[in-house]
Amino acid sequence: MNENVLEVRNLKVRFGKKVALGDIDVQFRKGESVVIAGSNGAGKSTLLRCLAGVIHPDKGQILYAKDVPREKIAFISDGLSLFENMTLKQGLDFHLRTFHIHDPDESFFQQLKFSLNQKIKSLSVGERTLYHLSLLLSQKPAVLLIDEIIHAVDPYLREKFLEAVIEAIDKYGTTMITINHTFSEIQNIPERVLMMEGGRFILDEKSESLKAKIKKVVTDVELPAEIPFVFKKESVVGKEYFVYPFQDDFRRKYPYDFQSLELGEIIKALIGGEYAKKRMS
Amino acid sequence: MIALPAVIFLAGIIPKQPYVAIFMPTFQSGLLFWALFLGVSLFSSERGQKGMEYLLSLPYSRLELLGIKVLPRLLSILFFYLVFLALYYQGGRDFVALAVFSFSFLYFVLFFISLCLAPLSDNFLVLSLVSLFALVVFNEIFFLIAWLLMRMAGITYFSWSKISGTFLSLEWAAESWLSFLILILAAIFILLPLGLAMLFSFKKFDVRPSKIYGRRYFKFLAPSLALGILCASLTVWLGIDRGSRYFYLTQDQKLIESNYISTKVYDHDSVSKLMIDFYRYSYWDAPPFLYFFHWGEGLVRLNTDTGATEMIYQQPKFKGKRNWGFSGRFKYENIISLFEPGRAPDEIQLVLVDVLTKNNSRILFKHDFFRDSGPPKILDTTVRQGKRFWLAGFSYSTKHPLRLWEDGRVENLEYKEQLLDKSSTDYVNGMLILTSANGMIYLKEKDNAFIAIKKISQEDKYWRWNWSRFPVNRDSAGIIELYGKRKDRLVRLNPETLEFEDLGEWKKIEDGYSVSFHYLDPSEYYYAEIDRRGQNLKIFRLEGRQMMLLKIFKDFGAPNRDDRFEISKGGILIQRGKKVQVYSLPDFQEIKYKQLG
Repeated sequence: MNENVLEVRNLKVRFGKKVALGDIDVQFRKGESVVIAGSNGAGKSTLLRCLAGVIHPDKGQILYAKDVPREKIAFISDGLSLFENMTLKQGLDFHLRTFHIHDPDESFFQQLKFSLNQKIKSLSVGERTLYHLSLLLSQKPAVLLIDEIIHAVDPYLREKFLEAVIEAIDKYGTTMITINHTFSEIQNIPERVLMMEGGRFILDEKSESLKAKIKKVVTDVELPAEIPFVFKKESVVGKEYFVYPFQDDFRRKYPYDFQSLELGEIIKALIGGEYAKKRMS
Repeated sequence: MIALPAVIFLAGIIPKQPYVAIFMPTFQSGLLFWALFLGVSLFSSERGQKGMEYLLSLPYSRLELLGIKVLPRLLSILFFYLVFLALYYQGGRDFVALAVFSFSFLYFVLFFISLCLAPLSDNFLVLSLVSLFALVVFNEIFFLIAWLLMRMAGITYFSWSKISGTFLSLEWAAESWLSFLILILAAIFILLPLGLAMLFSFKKFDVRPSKIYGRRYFKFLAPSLALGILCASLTVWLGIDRGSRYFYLTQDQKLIESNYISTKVYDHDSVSKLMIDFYRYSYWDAPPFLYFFHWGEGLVRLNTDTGATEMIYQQPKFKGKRNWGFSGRFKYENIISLFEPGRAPDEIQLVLVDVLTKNNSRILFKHDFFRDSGPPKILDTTVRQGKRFWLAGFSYSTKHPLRLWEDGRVENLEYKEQLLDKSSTDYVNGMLILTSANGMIYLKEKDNAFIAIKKISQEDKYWRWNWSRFPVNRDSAGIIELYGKRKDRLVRLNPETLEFEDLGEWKKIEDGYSVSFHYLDPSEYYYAEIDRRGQNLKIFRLEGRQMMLLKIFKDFGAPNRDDRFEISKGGILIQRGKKVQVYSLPDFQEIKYKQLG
């Protein structure tokens, strides 16, 4: 598997008649940070749950590297699933015991200002997110799977959260696969973007490559047919075209201002484009 | 489980009952609920805490997770079962609502079913109802298999109520280890698919909607259940046909072997196999016919020469009333008489079946004594002043005997003696004998009234412990002699002087003896003595106060062996384990049946 920490082959999941994932193939490298984007119902959470072992695929294989036992796979769902009748202390002890963690990394835990005697269910969503993350980081995970949860945390804690994640990636060579729609704080973390639609990948690009390939043009006129775009939207300043794939020749041939975009904007445009396609069809 | 019976007891809701009489049934009910609860709640804790995703992300395989979840429940089920057994054997035995075997069966089956169905739904109530429904379906499949097999085998006189009653009481399973094993095996074959389907489908159990799991579960369940039912059918078929065997010796020395599905009639040189079942203890013979009563059906007879059966009396359906069956029958001349409930609570009907013509007639009787009562027992019948009457008595009751005239009149046979506490009435040698816990009274008819001719106190009670050994074929011939126990002696009650006559030492159970009396007709009485320590059976003939040893059968009553014997007009039937032998009376010549093996 080379440097791959995880390989997915022909993965298929159905929810009754609906195909949630259709023959997915993808590899993830050690220490890689990946964001999975896509519209609602695209199959992102289903994929993450499959990788965590929470959903059993109907077909296909999920192959972790030999040096990645299940104890080193950490998953936090958007439902923040834990045994919430336990106290924080009980939850921690249970987690350490169950995941056979003999030398836990408690550094992040020590930053939490919660009383360990309170019940998990008494925590706010943000607090619970941080508590859950601290449990996972104590595992020194090889693979960290995070569903869309960052939005629930306040800006101060969000920063703490991201610092901890970045530290883990650096310290343990953790591969992080996250689903995220809110990119303002994590612009610089993902090295790779996977875009999903209808249970399949429609885009798999390195972040830098993606930034180079997608540009925005604001104009009042229609773009020439030679310039492809993924999404067009009307705004007060005119028509906004999200050109993809962008070629350097366009700057020489056409008098438009091809603007570079942040990752968050790119993702938003790609998702918008998918919605537009759905409307057309 | 402990608080509820305590409340019932302290509040006096069920008065005059010891605490254990309230506790044991409540405890049993509680345990059944506990079994159901433990099963259906397999994942309710995780579901209630929204922890299902976390549970499934733990580093265990699905089967390991299942093991982790099931093991403590199983231990709990076993622990409470042991508690129940301890209470049962420490004084609770007489107060249980369900017999220990039936209860154990239900307890474990309910736990297993509810456990297997637990992943099918998130809803506790739905799961509970589905589990109970599955339990009913399981029982019905179980009964249906047996019933269909009986029908397929050509058994016509076999009702659903009979088969369900037989299986539910588990009477046949309690008879032998083989039958027990067959029953358990059949149940396992039907239940196993539930567990196998769970094991196979749970390998892919996840957080998707439970109907996806359910679809996979039923995909496994359907074929395995079909296979299980097939295996259970084969097991029951083999089990019923090869389970416990019961033998009956007819007066013309044909040997009838029966189990719950087939009957073999052995003549000296031949054997014929008939697919008919006989309910043990309820048949009698009048060569060449063997009569038997099918519960809820009627009176059937088998011609042992030809193998033909015919129903000579079909009972009506007793909607909402208890069927008394054949418990009060009495035979005289060619008539079989029995009681059936009337239309009103204070009515009963006497049914007279003529076995020659197969005609039957009914006489309706009306009396307050018939209210809230089981069937009276016909004690005797005779013709007086050109009219027939039947003498009827009640068991364990303060009611006087009645004389039921053929014109429908009911005559209360009151006697002046102080009525004993609840007593049972019998008629021996022209005497009415009332037996109660306080003693006995012997009454004789004089000038159309019954007067006491002898009283026996409680201390000196003549205990007719062997009453059930009266001939099955109760008829007008009656009996004359009474033998029994008085203190530590074996005695005879002289029918003329009504004085006790000593016959010898009474052999006690605690010394390893088991004794019985056998009345064949008014002039033929036997006494049998099983010596379990010496492992032999002694047969004595009783003639007045003479007691003559006729024969000693060695190697009888070995431990862990189901040895039986029966003395009838045809001879003596001895069953030593699987070996069956028949001896004629009074010469004890062995009668050989070539095909008996």
